[in-house]
Amino acid sequence: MNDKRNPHAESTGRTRMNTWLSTPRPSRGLSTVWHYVRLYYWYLRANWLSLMAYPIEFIIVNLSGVAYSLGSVALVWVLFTQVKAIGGWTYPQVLLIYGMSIFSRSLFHLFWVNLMSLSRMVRDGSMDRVLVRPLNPLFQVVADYLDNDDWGELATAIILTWTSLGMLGKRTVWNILWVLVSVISGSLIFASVHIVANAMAFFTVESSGFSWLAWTVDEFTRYPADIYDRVTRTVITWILPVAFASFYPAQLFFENGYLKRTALATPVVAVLTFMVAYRFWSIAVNHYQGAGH
Amino acid sequence: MVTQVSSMALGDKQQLEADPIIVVEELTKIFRVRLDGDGFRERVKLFFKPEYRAVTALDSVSFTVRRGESVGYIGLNGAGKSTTIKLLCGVLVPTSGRVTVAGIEPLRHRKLNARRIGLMMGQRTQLLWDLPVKESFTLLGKIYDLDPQTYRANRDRLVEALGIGSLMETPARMLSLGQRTRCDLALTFLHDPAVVYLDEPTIGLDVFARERIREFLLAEKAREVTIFMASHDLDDLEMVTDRVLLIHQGRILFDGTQGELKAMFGGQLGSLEDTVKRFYREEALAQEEAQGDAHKKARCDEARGCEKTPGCEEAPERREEALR
Amino acid sequence: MTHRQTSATAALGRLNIGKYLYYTRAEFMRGLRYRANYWATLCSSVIITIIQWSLWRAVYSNTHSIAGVDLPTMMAYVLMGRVTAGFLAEPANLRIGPRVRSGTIVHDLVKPADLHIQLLFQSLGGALFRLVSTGLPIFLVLLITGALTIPDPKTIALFMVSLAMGYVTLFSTGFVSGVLTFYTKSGVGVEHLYTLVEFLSGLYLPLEFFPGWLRTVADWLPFKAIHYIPMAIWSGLTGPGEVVSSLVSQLIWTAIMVVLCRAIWSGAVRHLTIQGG
Repeated sequence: MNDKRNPHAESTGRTRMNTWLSTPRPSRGLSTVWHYVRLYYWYLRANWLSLMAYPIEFIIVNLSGVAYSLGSVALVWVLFTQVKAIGGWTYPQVLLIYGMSIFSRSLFHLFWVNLMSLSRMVRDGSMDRVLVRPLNPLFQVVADYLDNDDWGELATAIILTWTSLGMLGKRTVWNILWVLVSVISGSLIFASVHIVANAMAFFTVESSGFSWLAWTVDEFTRYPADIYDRVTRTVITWILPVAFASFYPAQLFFENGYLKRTALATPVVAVLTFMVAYRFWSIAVNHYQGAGH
Repeated sequence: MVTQVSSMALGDKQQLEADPIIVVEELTKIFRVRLDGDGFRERVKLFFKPEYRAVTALDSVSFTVRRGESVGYIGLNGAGKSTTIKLLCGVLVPTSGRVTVAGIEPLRHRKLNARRIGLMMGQRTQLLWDLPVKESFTLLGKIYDLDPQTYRANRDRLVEALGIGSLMETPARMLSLGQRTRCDLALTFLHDPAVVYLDEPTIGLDVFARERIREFLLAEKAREVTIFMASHDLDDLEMVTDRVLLIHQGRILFDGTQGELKAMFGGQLGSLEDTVKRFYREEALAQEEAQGDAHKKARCDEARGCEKTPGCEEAPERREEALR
Repeated sequence: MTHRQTSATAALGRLNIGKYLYYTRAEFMRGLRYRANYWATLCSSVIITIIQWSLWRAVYSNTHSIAGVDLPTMMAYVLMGRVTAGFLAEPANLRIGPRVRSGTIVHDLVKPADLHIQLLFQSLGGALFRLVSTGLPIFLVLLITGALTIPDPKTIALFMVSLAMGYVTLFSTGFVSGVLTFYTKSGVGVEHLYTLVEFLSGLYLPLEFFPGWLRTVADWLPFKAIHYIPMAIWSGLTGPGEVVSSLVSQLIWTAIMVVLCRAIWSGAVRHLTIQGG
């Protein structure tokens, strides 16, 4: 995350002299990462302290979060009281895909939710504040606020994944590790989609629609990807690779699973997607600075 | 780029202590505004085929600010004050022209510039809303990566100077506007910025709170901090700043000391406020003359020199309207 | 002062529809302002339509009838649900709590208009905009591709009546929960709970699919009047003989919700004017 455009960072660091100028320490590579990790802790701390100012809200919102995820799982559950399979996938299989989908989604929500504030931040000028601080803008936006609304959904996701792995007879340490790797990758893929969607705020003042569009794209991952037509399937595999958040990694656990080799690429896909999204973000920030609002 | 690197290789010290710390050269900013249209049919038409209008916020503005100087930036609503501050901070890219702050272009070296400047926007707080004020200090200290001694020394000095010691344990949302502004000012100066931009720092404050802030800013000025302050409160500017820039419709109309500005009107107008009012009235008149509005001209010629004539009184307001 | 007061009372007494329709028109026009948002919303609607269409095709891949519902009826129910989803979307800005805390409620109360009715007409503007701008194109595409077919004119007419009542019930649900935010101090959790309302209203599944106990719960709640009843009429899920009784029960639920709104709103106004919020 080092600012590569700044060739002077190091020389500035060495010459500390003015009492009225606090000079930056030379920060490159690992030390930069470490600096950001420590900073993230301080941001997290401030966030948690803020949330503790409203303990009752915390409880209400997470209980209703459970209700929310139950409401959305109910569709699958009620459906399977009526049918044996959906598009050839059995109940535990669909449940696992669904569980991994909301697992990724809730991890995304827990750590990246402030992306949704971007539209507001541009409108009320908070984005200008972000740009006059000596930190990566994306880091600041993401770390600035966590709502902790989604522990309920995370709990539901863990229960669903655990139960369906048990029903499939696949509850081993390695498999659970693979689920974790997949859902972390999945949350990174979701984050990428949301970064691009919310970065539209830098191009147009009214971008809340794009933010919701990103949440809608996530919904593709709730059901087995092969129920969609070919065009949709290509889009969610190669262009907005959200199918890698649940459907592909889950294939490793299925006897009738296919594309198991593709499934193994999940973390790589996640990192590549994120890099593309970050590139788009940088372009968008530059545009914002050019156009202004 | 190459020349810059070699000059930077000399070390920052020379650059930062070099006399002109802010150099603005022919800065122009043109915004594109989407037309809204009135009436149903026109709105539907613009929905499918949007049209835009170019608005010039800044028109070839040049000035320099010396190190340790404090400059007041005066203009009517919509004159381009906030745009200028955003351009100086490196938040906005100019349509053309150049900004240099302490030898670097803020846009190219965003993070390095960020460590050297402080920005305070009067209407917006950077305090953590639900937390005790001290938490905002802690987090900002970490963000600017201050070493513990510097952090403690700066914090203690600012807390003392602004008298906010008793507020440190209070959640920001429970502070009065005056208290909050003082805390915000302290946060702005926490990392020892060489240049501080203040956009309406005293907006909405009572006379005592404003007095306290003026005293603080004078003390910071004595520490050779460069202050660039945009405000509608001309009494504040009169007290704090040496030099004033008058901006109107995106152009700098006056750049000089307060004494020079007052001298333009023979020095018989007492306060900066009266002088500035007079200045803008004259400007509005000059514009109307230029537009060849014969009727208006006659009326205002008659009224010239007389403060209370309605025809001239309303002129600045009308210009202001037109600017919006 | 006296003159203004009397004219305000008179306006309220007559329920000056023209004045309230102005809010509808203004809100509709506001939708036109947000051009980029519109395309994003349209994309979202298309995506959900694709997901639903694919899901139901897959569900019916091995069977002709589930819970007595065949695929064409199911598709008509689900796809028409997507077409009207914008119209029957959770109404925004109904939260009274934030208005009270920020003080803007004062502006609402000094206006010679009833906030409840004003919001009803205002939300209608947004709903109509979404119906015309996103619902209609999707409807046309579904018609052209043959995914939807048009039923007989009588069914269409009954569907329209039912849809209108569905809108009023939806608005009232939103309004009641919005006024509740005034008492609960903060509006958190309301959006989340709304998913349960959506589920119970039959947005995701017709009530026929619900297990017995859940069906009973849904039957005794007003939410099925929002979505299930209009869609069941359109798709033919409600047989010709039951349409009238279905509409009557919808009317009853709608009336109950409107009365509840009035009661809870006048309670809140009393609370505000006497205790100052």
